Amino acid sequence: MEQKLIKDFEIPSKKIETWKFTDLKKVFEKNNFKPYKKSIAEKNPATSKINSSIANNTFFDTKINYVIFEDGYLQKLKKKSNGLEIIDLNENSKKTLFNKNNFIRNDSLLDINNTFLNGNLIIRVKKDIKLKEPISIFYFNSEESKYLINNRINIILEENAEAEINEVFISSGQISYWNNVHNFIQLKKSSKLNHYKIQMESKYALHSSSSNVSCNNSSNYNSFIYSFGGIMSRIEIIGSINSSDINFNIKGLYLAKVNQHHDITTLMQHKHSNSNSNQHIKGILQKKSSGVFQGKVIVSQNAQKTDAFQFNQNLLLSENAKINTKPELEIYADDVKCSHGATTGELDEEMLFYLRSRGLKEEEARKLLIEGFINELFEDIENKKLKKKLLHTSIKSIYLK
Amino acid sequence: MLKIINLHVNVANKKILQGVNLEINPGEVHALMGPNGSGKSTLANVLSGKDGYEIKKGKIIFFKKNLINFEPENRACEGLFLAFQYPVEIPGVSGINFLRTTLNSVRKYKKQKELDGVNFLKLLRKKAKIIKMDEKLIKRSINTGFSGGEKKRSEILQMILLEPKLAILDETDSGLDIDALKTVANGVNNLKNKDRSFLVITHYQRLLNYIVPDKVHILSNGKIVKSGDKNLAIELEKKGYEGLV
Repeated sequence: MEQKLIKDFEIPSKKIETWKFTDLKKVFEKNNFKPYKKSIAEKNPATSKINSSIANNTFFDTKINYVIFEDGYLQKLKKKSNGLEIIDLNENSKKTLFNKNNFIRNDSLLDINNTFLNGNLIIRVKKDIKLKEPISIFYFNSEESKYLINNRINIILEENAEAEINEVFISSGQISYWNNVHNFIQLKKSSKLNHYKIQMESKYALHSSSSNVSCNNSSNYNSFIYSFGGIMSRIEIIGSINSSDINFNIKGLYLAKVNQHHDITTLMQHKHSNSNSNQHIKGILQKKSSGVFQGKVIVSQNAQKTDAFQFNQNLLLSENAKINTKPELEIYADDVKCSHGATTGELDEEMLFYLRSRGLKEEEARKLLIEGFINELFEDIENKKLKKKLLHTSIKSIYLK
Repeated sequence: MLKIINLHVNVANKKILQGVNLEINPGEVHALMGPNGSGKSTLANVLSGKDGYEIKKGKIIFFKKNLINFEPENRACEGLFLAFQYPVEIPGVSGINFLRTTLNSVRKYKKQKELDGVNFLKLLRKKAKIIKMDEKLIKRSINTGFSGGEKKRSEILQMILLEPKLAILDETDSGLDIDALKTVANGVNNLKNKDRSFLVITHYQRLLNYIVPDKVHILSNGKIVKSGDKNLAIELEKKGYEGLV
């Protein structure tokens, strides 16, 4: 079989409807990323950078269960909790534990991931096991020669299992690379997953990732997306509700600075009755940054008694910042409760005045309101330690007028 | 304490206040009444320093300083407080955090020592008791999901915490049932002393049964057209504005 090259793939661009606002091809062509290979990794053995960079990372708070990828290849795997299985499938195994038909894409990102796959993992939590310690996955990039890195994680929660998974994307410095990471998640009956994705890539990086989540009855998926780094970032959640009594929650925050472009795109497919989905995505945009929220909820004909909500709120802290928001509902059932909405604006003048009339300086008042905007979204994050860190990291990074 | 001299204010090129004169001395309670659209809330907002009001003429002297050039926060720190007619909801900002920040901000301005968490909570509990405000409510986001009455109570709590020299109550009684009204009045009366003054804006004489004014003014078409003692409010209740103005 002839080996495929990156030029054989159509890189997502504005030509594709779902990429109308995010021209990945433009950034790709500017950088001409090359697929990273094992042979290169072997020539450049793991540096000491990895340990200090990760140990110093504020989100590295577990020593119980964690995985570290360096430039796509598995460097460390530690697993102490009982009932947890982490299996390293090497790059030669293209194995996925999902039904591909659930997650049909109209772009090439998954094919690219599959063709140039670096690291591939299975994480399985056994039946009735409720993990007390989170599982952290660090994607650490240190190569400076503009590589494309592909990882895949397969997550299975067996019946009645519970877990928290934190994915953290970081780099050794301000280097340029393309991280293309896709997850396939299967939640079996009555299982619960809290899934945090903390995207703190280098400011020159290109990030594209997706979580493809398939839910069985009475399962509960709580996703929290924190999009923070990269020159361009596209994070997708594709949810498939295959049964009843499922709770599917997505919370997301994109915090774009300077000239960053952050995109959160979701697709909720309600295929069965009596389940609900909730999406609340917020954006804070500064300087010349831009943000995108695209959310589509499809309620099929037999998905009666579905509750589906979708709300996108954006805070523009600069006149030059830009936002494209497109919440969509496609409903084919008649007995459902669905709503969607979006707001975009500056800090509310009435609120600002209220705080100032109580003696707060304008800058203090602005700070409090921005904090409030973020905090409202974070309010029901179950991992309080993580919540505090996320809030702190957000506030620190925000330019205050 | 407060001296408003010949104040003319436009909103979007429309003349709203057309020569208001008012003097409030320390320890006095003044009631400001008047028909809808007479300019009562405009006066309150202008005093507190809100944007969107064009001051064409006149002076606002507060303890010998002309307030017109003061930022809203500095007016607050100088001792002016406005209890809003419609307090805004601020989701995500915890009430307690806000109250502490605001109190310390005012204390800092006055060169007083800032309160630490423990001492602040002690003080807050004491004050909340006066107006029977549930502590759970204070812990929530500012005014978020509060009923009309709870919002007004929250305004009064801020007032008794900040201990202003002059408090302006903009229709604080509207939407309150009689028990809530008494509690709010209790908060005001608790704060009354020989140095502190109040400007109570209201439509109804009812509130003035509980907060007894030294002077009552009637504002009509942007001017104070009549002033008197508390009996003026009673007379007004009987005759209506048309009979008096």
